[in-house]
Amino acid sequence: MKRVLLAAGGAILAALLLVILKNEYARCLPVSTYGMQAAVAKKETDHLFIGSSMFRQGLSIDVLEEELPGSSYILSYNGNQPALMAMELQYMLEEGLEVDNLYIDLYPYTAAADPWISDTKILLDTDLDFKIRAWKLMAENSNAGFSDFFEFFVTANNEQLLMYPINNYLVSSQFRNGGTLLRQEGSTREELYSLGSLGGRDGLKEAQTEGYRQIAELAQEYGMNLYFLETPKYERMYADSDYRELYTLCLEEMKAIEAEWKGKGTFAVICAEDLDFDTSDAGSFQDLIHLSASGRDAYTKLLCSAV
Amino acid sequence: MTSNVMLTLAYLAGVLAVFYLTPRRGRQWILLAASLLFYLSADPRMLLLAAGSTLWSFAVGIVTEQTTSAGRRKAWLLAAVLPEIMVLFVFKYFNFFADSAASLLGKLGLPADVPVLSLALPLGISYYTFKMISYNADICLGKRKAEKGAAGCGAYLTYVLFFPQIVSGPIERSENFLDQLHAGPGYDAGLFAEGLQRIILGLFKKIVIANRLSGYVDTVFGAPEAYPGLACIMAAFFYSFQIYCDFSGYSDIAVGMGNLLGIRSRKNFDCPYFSRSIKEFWSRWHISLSSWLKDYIYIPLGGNRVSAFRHGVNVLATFLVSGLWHGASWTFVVWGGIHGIWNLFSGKKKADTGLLRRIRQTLVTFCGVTLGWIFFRAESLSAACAFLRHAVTGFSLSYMDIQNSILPFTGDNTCAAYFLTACVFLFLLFLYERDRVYGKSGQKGETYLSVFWIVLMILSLVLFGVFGVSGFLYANF
Repeated sequence: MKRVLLAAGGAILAALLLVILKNEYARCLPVSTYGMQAAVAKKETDHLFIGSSMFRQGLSIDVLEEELPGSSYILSYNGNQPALMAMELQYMLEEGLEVDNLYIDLYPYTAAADPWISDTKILLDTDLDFKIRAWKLMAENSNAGFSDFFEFFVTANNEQLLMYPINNYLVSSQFRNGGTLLRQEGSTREELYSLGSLGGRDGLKEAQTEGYRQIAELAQEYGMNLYFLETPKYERMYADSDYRELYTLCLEEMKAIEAEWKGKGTFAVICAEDLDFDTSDAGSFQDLIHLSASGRDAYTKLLCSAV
Repeated sequence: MTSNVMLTLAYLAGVLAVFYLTPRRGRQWILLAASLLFYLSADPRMLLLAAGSTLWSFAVGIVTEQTTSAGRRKAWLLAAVLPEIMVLFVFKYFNFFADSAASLLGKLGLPADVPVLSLALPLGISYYTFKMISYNADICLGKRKAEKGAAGCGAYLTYVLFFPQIVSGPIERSENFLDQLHAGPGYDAGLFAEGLQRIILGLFKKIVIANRLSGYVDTVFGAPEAYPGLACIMAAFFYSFQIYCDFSGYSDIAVGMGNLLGIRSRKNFDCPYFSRSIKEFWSRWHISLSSWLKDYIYIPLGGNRVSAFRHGVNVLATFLVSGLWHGASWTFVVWGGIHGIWNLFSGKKKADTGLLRRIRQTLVTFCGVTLGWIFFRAESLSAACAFLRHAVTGFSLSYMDIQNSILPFTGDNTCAAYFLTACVFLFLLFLYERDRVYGKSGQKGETYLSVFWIVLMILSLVLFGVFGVSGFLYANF
């Protein structure tokens, strides 16, 4: 009995120690071509794109490097939201990353959602302090409970860390400077209204719009050019009244931020409709919101000529 | 409560506190109250049915014992068993047989308008019905005395509705359980420690392995045509491990919970995938059910002391009942039929031979059992056939197919890490069980976890537990 209790107690203490070590030092085992730590390791980049899977699927690193002067880096996490993008930017700047041009994913649904880390890979790239701030943001603005807390701090990413040598090799080989190199992605077709679950239908959330403002403040403070980009969505998305409403609110928010912009660099909002991109061409899309490989190339070329 | 093992364990913690604060002679009533409260919280509408059936079985048991005539004893046995089987039939099998009859009549061109019952299956009905049948049958056969008086009635209710075992068994025999209850379950440090270790082992199997595999299995079985044949084969093997870890994990937890309450139970699983023949498999898999079927179906039918033809019928009938017990569907009947036929043509237990031959026999048995699980898991016979067809015709070992076969784990580029982690834990389970079967004498049998395994399993539970999946597969049966 004593043996069992001692072993169990020892195991729980060991687990606690491993959890603390993981949350502080897992970032020392980063994927070398993807995520925040890989960006920080570059020390500087001329063009930093921060966004969600929209950017991963919507931007081609090959084309960016061909068309834009200097270096580019795409930081993309699934479902990345403005509030978190602001935290990610701040984290990387504090870690010493220098950026000239900043491009932020303007996807209205994420701005209408409660703050939430939907891609736990963010946790692999950050220290304990970042995680605590992210958790507080989630807990204060949503219904995060104990099971979420447990996943957030204890179980998230353990598989990737256990299998680090293999996982790092596999994932690193799929990216370069944060941009995906895969030409044939799996199908992730989602229905229009299930996409609505990404965000509420009652306007933009204050924490998210605050995130946009914080990004603008950071860009001003560090003297960057700031671009908000809305990647093309398939035409059916633009016909959706919910999307249109949030899209309009986002643009209004951008106008308000632009009115307060006092930075020495450029401030611009570039939406898909500002470019000569054919959103009715199904061949340019992998699904309703993600571009296909050919769509990605075409859009990135248009974008580069616009900036 | 039944669908969440952590809640059940939290409930147990409360029961344990009250249980050990109560004097020994009163503890059986604590167990009864805890079991009734558990049932009430899980399935309040059906508590009356379960308790009523148990009281009827208890009363008929007394009358049976007092009857001297063999014919009348059998009549009383029927009086006890028939209502129990009828209740089970109405709740579990009526719609299945009605649908099957309607389908058959429809094919014959006859009008078929059969009623459909909308009844929820009472919690644990398959388990407690078998417990009651064995109790009444044992009294009729003179194998045991009937329980009597208020204490006997309370003890019998506790035995039938014992909360750790009501969800997914095991189907404990009455003599073992009731004797311990009458003696007054007390604190035994060794048994308590064994119970804790069983619970740790059960949680490891269920939460670390079975829950981890369930997402993959559900995804591929849900739409096999969307994945390569290799994914179907992997899903079939993963399901073999999932159902084993899920069910034996629950059994370990249930037996462990009983141990903490001073009740010693027989083991329900004994490393079944190390079996070298199908006969050996059934002596290691769900032992409480297979021994029940042997004692109350196979032997009363004549066992093997009859003609070869009749023996074949007996074996087949036993396995068909086993299939039907698991569920009211033709997939379970076919699964039972496969095992029955395989048993018929299987020789006696293989003698110890060379290592390679032992490995081959073990692998052949495991692959055969896995084939049977496809029917067990599939939604319908046609779905099982389609699954098998796609596994064969869609099979290739191209890089793309291998990649797409791992993808269902997470659907993104972390799938390889999840796949490899699942393989690591299956390998750990293999090492643990290999020691139990082939290890040195100190590691074999009932000697439980070493400090190494306790630490490893708890660490795995905390860091790699998949807690979002609730429910036990065998709770559906």
